[in-house]
Amino acid sequence: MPEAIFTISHPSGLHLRPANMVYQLAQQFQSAVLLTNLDRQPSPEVDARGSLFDIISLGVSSGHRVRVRTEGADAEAALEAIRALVETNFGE
Amino acid sequence: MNELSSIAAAMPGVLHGSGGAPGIVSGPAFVHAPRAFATAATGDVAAALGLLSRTQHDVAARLQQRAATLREQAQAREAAIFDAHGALVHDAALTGRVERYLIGGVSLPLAIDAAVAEMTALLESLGDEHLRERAADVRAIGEMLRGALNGGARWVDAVPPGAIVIAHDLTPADTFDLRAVGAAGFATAYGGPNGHTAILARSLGLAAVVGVGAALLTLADDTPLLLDGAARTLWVTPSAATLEEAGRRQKLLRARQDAPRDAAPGKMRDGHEVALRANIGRPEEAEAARAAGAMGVGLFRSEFLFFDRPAPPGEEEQRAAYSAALRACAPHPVVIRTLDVGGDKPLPYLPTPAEPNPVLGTRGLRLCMRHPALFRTQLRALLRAALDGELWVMLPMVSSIEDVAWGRGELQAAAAALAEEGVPHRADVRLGITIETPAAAAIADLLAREAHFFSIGSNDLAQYALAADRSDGLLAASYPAASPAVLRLIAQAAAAARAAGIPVALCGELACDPAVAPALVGLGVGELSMSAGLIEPIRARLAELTLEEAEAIGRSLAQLSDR
Repeated sequence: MPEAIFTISHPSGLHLRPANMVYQLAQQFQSAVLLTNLDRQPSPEVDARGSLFDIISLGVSSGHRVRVRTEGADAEAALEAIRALVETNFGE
Repeated sequence: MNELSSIAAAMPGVLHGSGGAPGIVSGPAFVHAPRAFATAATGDVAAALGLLSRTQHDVAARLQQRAATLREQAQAREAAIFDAHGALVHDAALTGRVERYLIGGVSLPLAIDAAVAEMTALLESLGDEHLRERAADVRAIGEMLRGALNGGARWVDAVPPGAIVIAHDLTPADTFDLRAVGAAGFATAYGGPNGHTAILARSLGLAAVVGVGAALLTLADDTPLLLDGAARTLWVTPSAATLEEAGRRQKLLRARQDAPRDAAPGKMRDGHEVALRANIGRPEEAEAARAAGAMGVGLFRSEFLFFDRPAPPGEEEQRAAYSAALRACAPHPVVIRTLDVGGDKPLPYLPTPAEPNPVLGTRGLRLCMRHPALFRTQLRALLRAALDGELWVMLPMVSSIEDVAWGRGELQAAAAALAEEGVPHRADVRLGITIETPAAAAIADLLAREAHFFSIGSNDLAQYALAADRSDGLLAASYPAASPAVLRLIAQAAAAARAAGIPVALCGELACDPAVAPALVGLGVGELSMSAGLIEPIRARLAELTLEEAEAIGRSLAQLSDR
């Protein structure tokens, strides 16, 4: 299963607007987009396609590392799309 | 109601209730006839989910409109916030939780409230400034959904400012909302002096008369009314002379209760100090208590967090609630009474066997002994919240040394588990007990060695000592709580506490009776706890007397011979 770890550098962390961007992006794929906050214990693994609230409740602050695992037919494409979003700092 | 009785009620007259919240107000009647949420009736889960779905659609559509307007004005960042809110309105996490509450038998509006409360508690528990703002977003979505339910606003939004609301009874939520919309006060046909609504009204400083009887419901909208909560009286179409007299009393009352006060102990004429604290049921009330000059909270009835829901609040939700009260009152103490329910105050998710005498049955600490996991969750939440202020934990319904020992053992076990898990908490909280059984008063000297403080629950102590049901008006009148038998038990418990050097408070209705409060102080009670709105009258009464005079009043009421 494709997997990557991203560090969130936005000063407000994965706040409302960027979290919604991840949520909306995930809707475009058939694959599960599973997120875990590696810097908060215990942290559940949530499917970004399922719920914006679940993404927010990961509590990703600035500097936290998020592990993304994708699973499904278009898993590679989904992971690359998330990578592009993070690398452009959510368009900010 | 027949025509005759409605004419009679529209005529000038005086109505009396069984209880109230102090305050003198006048204004036009606003009659609230309860309208059931027809399509959201409890039990019809499919219909409620359909209504939820339509409501979500309506609210999201309005948010999209706002986003579109902002995009036209080249404000993409602001528009994105409305986009995100639109997604949250439909969020599976919200819908799933609402559905769970609906299946549990809760009505749709309450299910939305409960789901939102759960979600905000989860975010707030993560202890991050930004996430607290996200909690506000979730709360706003809950409010939008509730506002849009039934195609319109909450009924309280129709209440004109300055009106006096007339209703069968009110929910605590309605009571909160009434103050927000600027209602002058309210009167209910049903409900008693110790009901949640009356207790809340006192805490919020909203004038009220409760338990007026069915005659109240014959009043028409816009009937001129005058309400005196302390006198439990409602005047229908009052005369000019009655209004003028009320205006004078109102001015006197206002002069004493104007700006927010600093927290300070009550001071008697000779300088003797008596700590005055507030009784609360919800963390939000701690702010009002502080503004009313309370030295913290003398009784936080934690069971209020457990009512009106299909499942008990989780550890995180409880921790957030306790923390909020502790932060609002720091550095003054907040005495949190552990879950105090039983056969007479049942919870839907805690099946209690039918008991012939519920008030003598499995209630308070006894119930917690039967449900140790529930109790352990509460203790963990308390110990974690203790980091945010001065927490005193109080065990209710103690009648033996073994009861206290069990409670302490559970508290120590909870602290040990938290330490093992590396969860931040404070283990050195004070652990005290309620003195509400005659048994506890009888062995107060022994219990004083086991507890860090006493708080005398005079309502139950009177009921148990006099063997008289306090909800039976006739019996209660024949055997008043301020009787020599009860006052002597109070004096005995207070003496034992003083001998052991531990604080002793009183948190029942006796504390807010200006005729009795000095006697309690005279009999050795060091702290009084009452509804926040009643602190000032008691402070004023205590200031008129010296401790020696109070001791004389105490001996006289308890019919103890002079030393």
